[in-house]
Amino acid sequence: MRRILVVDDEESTRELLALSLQSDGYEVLCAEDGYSAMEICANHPPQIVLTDIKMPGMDGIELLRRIKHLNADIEVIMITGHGQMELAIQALQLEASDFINKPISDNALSVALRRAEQKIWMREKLREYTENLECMLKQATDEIRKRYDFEHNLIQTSMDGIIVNDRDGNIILFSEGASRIYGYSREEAVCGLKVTSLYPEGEARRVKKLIYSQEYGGPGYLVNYETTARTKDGRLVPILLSAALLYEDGEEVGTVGYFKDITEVKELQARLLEQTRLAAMGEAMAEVAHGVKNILYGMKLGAYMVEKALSQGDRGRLEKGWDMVRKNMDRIARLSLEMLDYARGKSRRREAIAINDVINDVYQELSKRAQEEGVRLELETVCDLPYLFGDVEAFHSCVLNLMTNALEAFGEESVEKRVTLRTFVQENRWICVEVEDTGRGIPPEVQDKIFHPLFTTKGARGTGLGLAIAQKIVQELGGVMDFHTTPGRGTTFRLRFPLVTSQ
Amino acid sequence: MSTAKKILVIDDDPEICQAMETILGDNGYEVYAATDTVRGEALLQERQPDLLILDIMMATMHEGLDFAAKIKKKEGPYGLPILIVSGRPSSEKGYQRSVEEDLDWIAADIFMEKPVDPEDLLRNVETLLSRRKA
Repeated sequence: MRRILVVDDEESTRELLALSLQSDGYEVLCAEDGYSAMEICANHPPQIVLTDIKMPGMDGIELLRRIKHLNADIEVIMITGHGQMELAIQALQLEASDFINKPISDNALSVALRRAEQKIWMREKLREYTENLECMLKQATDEIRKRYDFEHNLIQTSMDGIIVNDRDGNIILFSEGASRIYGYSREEAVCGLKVTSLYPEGEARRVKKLIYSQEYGGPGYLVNYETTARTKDGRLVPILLSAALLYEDGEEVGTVGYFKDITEVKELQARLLEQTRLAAMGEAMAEVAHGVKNILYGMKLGAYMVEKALSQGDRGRLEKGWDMVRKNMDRIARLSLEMLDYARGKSRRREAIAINDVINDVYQELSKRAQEEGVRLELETVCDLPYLFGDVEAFHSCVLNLMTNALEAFGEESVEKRVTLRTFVQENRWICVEVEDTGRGIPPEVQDKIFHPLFTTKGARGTGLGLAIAQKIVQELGGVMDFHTTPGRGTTFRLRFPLVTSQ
Repeated sequence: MSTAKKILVIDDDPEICQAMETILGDNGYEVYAATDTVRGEALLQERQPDLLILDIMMATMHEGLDFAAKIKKKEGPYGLPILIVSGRPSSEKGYQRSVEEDLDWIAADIFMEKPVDPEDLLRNVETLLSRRKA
């Protein structure tokens, strides 16, 4: 229910109006002058005030002014007498909602009231809308702030360093993770530090080039690139870097980089490598000791025979014993030479190798031995084989080694004794050299060990270095060596060298 | 002389075989030698030796150990004492089975680590053969 305050100095007018308004459903308060009206407005504010314009003491105009000052939302309707048009206009300028003339007609009153009601309603609506809008704006703002905080936290709490720079290389974002790696504070970084100073000399340019290149994830990206960071105090830290170009409306605006400190990973890798190396060395030394012990055993037996023969004056036995001592001395010599050869590594010459010439040499060298041992040697070579580049002698010893192994691959049970030496070009991509034998084959349990240095199945006859050296030579020539074997049927070793298209 | 003790030597090095033939022969033993277990087993059945001297580093360590185990499990001509000569110390691990484990299992009679002194070898041979007689 709306509350109306009626202000008039004439009691009869007040009562008449009050009655009429009450019957229209208003709660009606009355005041006989401006002062008591102001008091009511302050204590029980009405929505509408109906006031006479001409009153003793405070007149209607003054009352209007004070009410509007107190509460601009209160609608004030002025009651004017005849000839007070000027006052009425003044009242309207002071934001009175309407004026009605005396004597008051019901019709004029209800029109004025309706207009005031409408203004109140509109104002309420407007307020409602405004409040809604404000509320919605606040919600949206909160949402944006929350999302911003979330993303900010993501960036700041990331273990990796996150750094964004603009096109000119100025750093515009520098996460806590980045501070941990580099030692610069965020403020130091974003106030004029160039991204180039985060790398050693020249590395920033290389990184930039790589981002645009095909490598490491394609143009615009860099994925898991190992590089080096230069910290504030000049330390160099190994890092794993991923980066991406940033675009705005299709235009490149900067770069974001994710930096991972891999110092610990590197240290672990190095330690692991060292351990593996030590373990391999220990294993190799045990194998060497084993080989030496075998040879010493032979020497001891020989020496024993020599001593016995000397005391008995048996010349035949003496020669037999001495021969054994000599042979084992040769074995020790060969073992140490091959160990040196294996350890020597790359100090080889580089020249054009005519593969078929080397193959033919090896064939000639071994044909007599093959004949003596009842092994048929076969040669299947293709003409016009491209040259290989590397050390001829090394290649020769590699082929010789594989051929010697092949000749020794036969047992008593071998029905057919045949070794084939073959060259060909495969798929226009590889130059192949194959050594095939029809011997015993390699037992499954040793297949994965045959390239290990010092592993041998030949007892004291082998040093266990032949295949290891051969494989090393093939690798130095840029090739790969593999084999397939069927126990009881034979083994084929294949060397493949990439065919270099003619320069 | 039918009383001469027969010894079978299996070692993949033919020269060791030869030397053993000479040395053991000099000491009055009848020696048969083989460079692999297939021929070794044939000789075992054919000659019925009194003792086996076996190098366990045959083509593979397993070949030697499996052969020794096989012999120990069987009766008849197989039930002979075995003297193992190895390049590896009996304590060395690193293979799937340690030599020690295998020795328990095959109950090899004597284990000798290379380089074996011929005098010690002869003494052990004599011990094994005399123990068998008793």
